[in-house]
Amino acid sequence: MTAASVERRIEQFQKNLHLVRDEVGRIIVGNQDVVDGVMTCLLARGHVLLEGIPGVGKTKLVQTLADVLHLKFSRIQFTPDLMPGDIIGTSIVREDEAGKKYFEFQPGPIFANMLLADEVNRSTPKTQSALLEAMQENSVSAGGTTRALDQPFFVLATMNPLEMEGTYPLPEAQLDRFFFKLKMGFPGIDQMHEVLDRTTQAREPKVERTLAAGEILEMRDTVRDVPIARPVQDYAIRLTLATHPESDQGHDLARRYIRFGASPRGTQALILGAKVHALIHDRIHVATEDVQAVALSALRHRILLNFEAEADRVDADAILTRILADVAPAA
Amino acid sequence: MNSAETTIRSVLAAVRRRLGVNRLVAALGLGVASALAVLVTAVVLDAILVPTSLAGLVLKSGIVLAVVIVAFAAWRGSRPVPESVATLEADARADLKDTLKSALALAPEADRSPWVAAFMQRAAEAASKLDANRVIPLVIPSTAWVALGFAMALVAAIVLAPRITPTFHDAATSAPSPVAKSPAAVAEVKSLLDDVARTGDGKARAKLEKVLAALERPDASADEKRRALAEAKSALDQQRLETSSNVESLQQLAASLAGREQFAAVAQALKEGDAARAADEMRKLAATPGAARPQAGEGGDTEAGSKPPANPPEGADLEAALQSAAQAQPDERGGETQGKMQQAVRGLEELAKKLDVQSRLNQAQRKLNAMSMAMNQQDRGLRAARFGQQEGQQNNPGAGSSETGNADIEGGHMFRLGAVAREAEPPPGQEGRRTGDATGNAPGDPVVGDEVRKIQAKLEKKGVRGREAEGPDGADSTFYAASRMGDAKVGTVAVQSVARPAAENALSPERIALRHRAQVKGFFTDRTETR
Repeated sequence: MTAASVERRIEQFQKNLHLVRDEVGRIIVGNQDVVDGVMTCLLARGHVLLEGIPGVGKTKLVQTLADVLHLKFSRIQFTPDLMPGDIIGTSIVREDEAGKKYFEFQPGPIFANMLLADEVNRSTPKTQSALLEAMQENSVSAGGTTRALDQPFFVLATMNPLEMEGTYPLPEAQLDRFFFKLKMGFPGIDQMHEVLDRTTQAREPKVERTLAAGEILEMRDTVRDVPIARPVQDYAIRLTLATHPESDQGHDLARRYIRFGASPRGTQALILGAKVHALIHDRIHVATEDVQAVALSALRHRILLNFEAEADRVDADAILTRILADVAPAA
Repeated sequence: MNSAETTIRSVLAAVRRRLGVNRLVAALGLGVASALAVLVTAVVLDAILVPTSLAGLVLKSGIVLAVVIVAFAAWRGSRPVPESVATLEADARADLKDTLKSALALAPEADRSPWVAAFMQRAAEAASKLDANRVIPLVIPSTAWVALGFAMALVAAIVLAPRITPTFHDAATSAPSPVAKSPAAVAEVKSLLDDVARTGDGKARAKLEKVLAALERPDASADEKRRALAEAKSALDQQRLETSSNVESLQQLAASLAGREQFAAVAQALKEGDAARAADEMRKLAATPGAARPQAGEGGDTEAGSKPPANPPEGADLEAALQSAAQAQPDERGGETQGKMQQAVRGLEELAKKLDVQSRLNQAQRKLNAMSMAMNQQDRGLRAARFGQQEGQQNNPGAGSSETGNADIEGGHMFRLGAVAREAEPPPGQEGRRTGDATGNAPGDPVVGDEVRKIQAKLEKKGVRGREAEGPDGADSTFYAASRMGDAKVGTVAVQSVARPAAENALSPERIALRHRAQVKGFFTDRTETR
């Protein structure tokens, strides 16, 4: 590969990315940073946890993406009585023409390229674990057989932050498996006008399928090739260490409000997310600015706050913002 | 090093040079401003300290310090700017998003990775477009303006320095200075020495000679001269006591001549302290015909017994001579009486001479006092207020008195207490006592015993709602109740910090830690119906 071919790949990446963004923009109004965040997770081989109040377009975003990307899409509405088999699939007894009975595996909805796990915190930990294991391993084990999931495999889980009764909040270890945690806010007045114009008229806009699975996998490889300088990588590591209360480099706020800091998986998410961010902005090197841009999404669900933080009503975003302001980039 | 890296490094070198110039200017600005501040201070101090030997030293030290500061600033400013700093500055100012920083870090991998090679090409393109002079403009630091201000202040200080010196030393130089005018002081002490020699006091003379030696010594310090003048003053104090004694003796002589009409003029002159006039009057009496009958051999030489003594009589002898001359009747006065009178005349003339000398000594002592005070003012650099304070102290030496209550004497306080105890009841017409104020203006004694507190609760008039208007005067429907001021008093309880969480949790009866009560309360108050 030569420098010229690299430039061509970057050009193709940019072209594909803009196609997706334009198509998604025909359905989803505003929330461009969320759309970019979801695309970043998809291209960085991660999964995303979407948090937002009902009706802001979480499910619509995922459906639109699935349509645009020409991927197999499935949706699971998580409820307390949902069982792991309902997700993974189950073996049923079948009979062949000779009358011989045998087990046949009926794949569950997890066998898709894009999976929307709606209100993932409503199901029991057992069911959640089945999903999260598949997210981590990209394969499922059923009936003594391990089956690989189709690639790309991309999970978008949603959580409703308002109603917490009767829910099973995800443990920190499982939250860590989500690449990003994105927050969808309520649209502004102009955006609401746009939403109403698009959704309350006779014809709703349609999107075209622009990318196939192969192109997405190629884009994923492109992301991994982006070089990162050691000082920038060092900055990402120091950011992570700053969230550790027991670390020498721990931030004062971390010592006061954080029980456990971000894991090394968080640093990986920082670097990969920064690479995608750099490519989105037509750069083939990772800058400190890229790391800062993805830091909140990559780390906010990976730090465990203590009671003091809850009592003082301090959230993870506030702490991370202070850390970002105080940790100086390496020279 | 490939071409891309070469391009990047050459651009960074230009940036480093530019940053170096800015850093040097900034450091020099700060250094020059500091040096000028030091020089201004040194010039002003030099002007203030002109009369002392420190003046030149302060100015020289200031100049040396200023040169050192400028040299240090120049050394600091001329140090080379590190490449990492130049990279950061260029990236930040040209909005290159860490391009140059990443390029320098990734340059060694350019041959191995096509991605890094492509990035290096992009970085080199970005660097070649970077104009160091435009990105890093020359900046005049704010310290340069400060330095300009200090330079103007220095010029002003140099111009005004000659005027500062006399102004500052005005108070000290307005009084005659014995240090500055030592010859005057020496002349004064010499005239004193002559006067003292006439009185025949060898001890005082010896002391004054020492003082004279100290004043005439060229290497004598101001402190030594001040001490010498103090010694001269103490020597003259003795002379003053003798003067008082002589004046008192004149009074006694006047008293002894009381009732004798013939000697009334002499007694009057003695009473007024004029010994010379008394001698003249005495001489007139002695020369009166009949009053003095000269013996054979005029001049008192006819009889050995009436021969006047070689030395004039002093003290008791003079009084006895006067008494015997006064007791003799005019017609009975013989040669012995005449001799006594002439003896008294000589004694009085001698006394008059002594008093005259002592009078001049008193004047000299006053001059010495003035010289000593002026010297103190100059040495201490007194300002107007302090000068007045000093004056007050000089004019009001500590004098204990039972009448004024001033206890500035040994045992003064007890003396006053005793005077208060001894003083009898004042007469009816007298307002107050001599030993203290009895008109009620004296502060009261401090309260001894329990602390007195004001009543917290107050009574206020209240009425039954809706029945205020009942009754002709409203007396039936109103009553007095304690106001809320008293009820609102809240006792405060000291909360001890508890180290152990378990004990902390057990602090409140609800088994909720005090520090968590706000959250628990918030939980229940913020709770909404969700079922």
